[in-house]
Amino acid sequence: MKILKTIIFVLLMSAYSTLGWANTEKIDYKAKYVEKQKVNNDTIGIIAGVINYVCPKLVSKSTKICKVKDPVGSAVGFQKQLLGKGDIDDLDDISDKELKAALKKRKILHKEGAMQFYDAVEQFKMHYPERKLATDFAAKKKWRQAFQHEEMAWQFLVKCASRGIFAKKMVDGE
Amino acid sequence: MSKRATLKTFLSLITVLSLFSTTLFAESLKSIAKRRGLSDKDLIAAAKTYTPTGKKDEYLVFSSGGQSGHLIVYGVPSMRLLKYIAVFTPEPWQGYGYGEIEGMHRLKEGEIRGRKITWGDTHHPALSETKGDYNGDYVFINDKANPRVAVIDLNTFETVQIVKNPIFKSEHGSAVVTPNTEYVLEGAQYPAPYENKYVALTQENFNKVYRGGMTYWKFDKKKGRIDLKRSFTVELPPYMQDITDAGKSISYGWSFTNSVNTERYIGGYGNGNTKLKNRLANEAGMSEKDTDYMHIINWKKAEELFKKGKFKKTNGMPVISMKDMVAANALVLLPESKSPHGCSVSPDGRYIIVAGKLDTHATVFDFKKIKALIDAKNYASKDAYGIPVLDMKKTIHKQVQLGLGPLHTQFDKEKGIVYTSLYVDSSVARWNYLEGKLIEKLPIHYNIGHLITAEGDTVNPDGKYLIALNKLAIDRFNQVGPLHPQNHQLIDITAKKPMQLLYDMPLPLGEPHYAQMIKADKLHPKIRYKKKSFKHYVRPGQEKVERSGKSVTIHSTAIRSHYSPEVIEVRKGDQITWHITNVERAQDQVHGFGLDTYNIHGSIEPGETVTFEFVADKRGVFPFYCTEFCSALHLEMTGYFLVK
Repeated sequence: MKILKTIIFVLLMSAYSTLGWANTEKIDYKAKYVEKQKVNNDTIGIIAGVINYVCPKLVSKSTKICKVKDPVGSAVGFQKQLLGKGDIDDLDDISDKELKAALKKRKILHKEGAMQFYDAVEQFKMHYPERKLATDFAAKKKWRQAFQHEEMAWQFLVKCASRGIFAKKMVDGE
Repeated sequence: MSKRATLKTFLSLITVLSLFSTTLFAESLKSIAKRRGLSDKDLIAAAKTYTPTGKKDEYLVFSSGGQSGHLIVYGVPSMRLLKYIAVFTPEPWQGYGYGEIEGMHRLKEGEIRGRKITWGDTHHPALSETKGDYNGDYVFINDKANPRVAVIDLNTFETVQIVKNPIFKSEHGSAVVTPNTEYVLEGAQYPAPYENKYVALTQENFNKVYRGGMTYWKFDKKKGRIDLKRSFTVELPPYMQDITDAGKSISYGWSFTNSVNTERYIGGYGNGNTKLKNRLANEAGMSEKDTDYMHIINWKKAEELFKKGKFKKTNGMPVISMKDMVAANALVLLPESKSPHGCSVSPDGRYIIVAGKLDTHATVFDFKKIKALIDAKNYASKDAYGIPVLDMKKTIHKQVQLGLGPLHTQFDKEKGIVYTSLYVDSSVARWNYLEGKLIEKLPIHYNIGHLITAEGDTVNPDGKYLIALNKLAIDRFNQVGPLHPQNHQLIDITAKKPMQLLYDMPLPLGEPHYAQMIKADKLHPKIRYKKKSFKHYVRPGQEKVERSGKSVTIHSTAIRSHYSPEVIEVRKGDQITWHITNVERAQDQVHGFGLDTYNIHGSIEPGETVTFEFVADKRGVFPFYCTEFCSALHLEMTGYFLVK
């Protein structure tokens, strides 16, 4: 996992430094869009790795929710398993003791880690509409807007990654 | 060398190495202790309190914050500070009193005679109880300076109500709860006329018009609020009522309140008095008699009188007269050592321990004896107001000489064992109130006031820990100017072992008077707010700005790392209502909201919607931003509020 964190760090640093240089030259938004797309794809790859690492530590193997070949499916499946038939607000209404019992019933293995991971997945979901907008603008060759939405997608991915690492720290007892 | 010999040599080497490393480690601990000047006793104390990262405390302490008007929360045994709860005074971090309407409304509730009060002198927190045990639902705290009581919901650790006493001009014996939190008690301190009018300070007026009292604030457990319409006050003589405790078990339905000036002395010492001249100082005049009075009130009977309408309203407060209370045999006086300060009911409700303050003794009164005398109307005399006075000697179980300046008492899990603070001695006395025997005394730092033990004023005390609440630490911490921090000292009171001082904790906020220590697992605080529970909840995507004449309503959301909307333009003079929902789910994703120049600041916790109201009365450009570090792009979480 240290390697994962290092990769995320390098990704973030490269993304930030790209932004820094961008201000000093004539801006090629198409190139920036393409580059950001690559960063986002790589970040999604990293997030997939985090999901594959954390998922089996959060939910029982018997649920067959965690699938290495489908990390996004694993994440969404985990959320459904966590919530049961209710929504996330319902979990606020019950005591810690009851929550532990409810999660045990749902075969959730780590309460605190599960709540953090849920949030990470929520952030991940928010990157989709931004990328969709970016793709739409790119199709119209509106590269600046395409880049901006790709950038916004990245913001959500970063938040997802930071939460995911937090969840990982919790399940690993760091 | 044979294989066997090689193996033997190898094993010997390993043994020597392991012994060496063990010695090295032990030596290392020793060398640290030597370098830092720590004794074995210190190391044991450190081991008893050190709480590694990630480990939580067994108990939480709710301590008054004195002149800050706040309530302080910390953990035991780590003594780690966890929170200051804003109660009577504005507190910017929590956005209490800086434009957010809930906090503004709360502080407005505390206004007295139309005056904004921005300080409080919190003294005695009281955790809500069920059958005499803390239930972890609410904590109440009083303001001695401006007679008020606040309700803090332990679901959110936020102040949800402030009630002001409309007839008292100060108070002290508060907050105290009855065993099922039926009532929150508030006793007056410095006598004054109930009405808000001038009454010349003469001895005659003082005796006839100035009054003390005991207010019983009815607590509605379902609503979690004090019900003003079902609250009442019992009129009391101008005796400067002091510390109060509520009866429990066999003394359930009664309350007990000390007093410190049954002489009814009114002062006049020194030069410059405009009315009274060349008289003794209060401290002498108020200590003339050998005894003062404990007020024994049957609040169950008082409640009946209230329900029957036997009261007169003053400033909207129903007041039951002393005369009616005496007629119902619901108010009696019991002589106690002069100017006492502690008044503590034992876990079984049978004994009331009063510490002398100016006497070296603590007196243990037996409620069974008191009750028998009351039931038989066997009274020794009457006071100047016609209130029956019991014969002190007939009510005493034991009197024990403890030391100089005994003040407050708390109970242990072990039957009969109690702890009393000795202010002049600067020590804590461990003694047996059933047998009337002093066991040991532990010197503490200096100037001890109250003390607390774990759940030590409930029907089931836990023992284990005691905290001495010392005032102004003159030599324990680094000097930080002439005003010193207070010092809470943690003491191990494990049964049948000598008491051991474990830790000194400075509190640099105000003078904390009393505190209560509750088992942490009794508390069930909220982790995050339910978004839908807020009337003005703003859903993501439904952010907007609405205008109706000069009223502008802004519906915003906050999420890492942006507000939506980010740029808002209004006109000078517009009345602004600004709702912001934090749509985050992660429990540490708190966002702040600070608006330049307008003195607006709020804390928007996950799931919460807060509302600010203000008039855009300054033209210009005003950045707003998130004041709580929330993410890598936290600095970018900003916007402009433009007033043209």
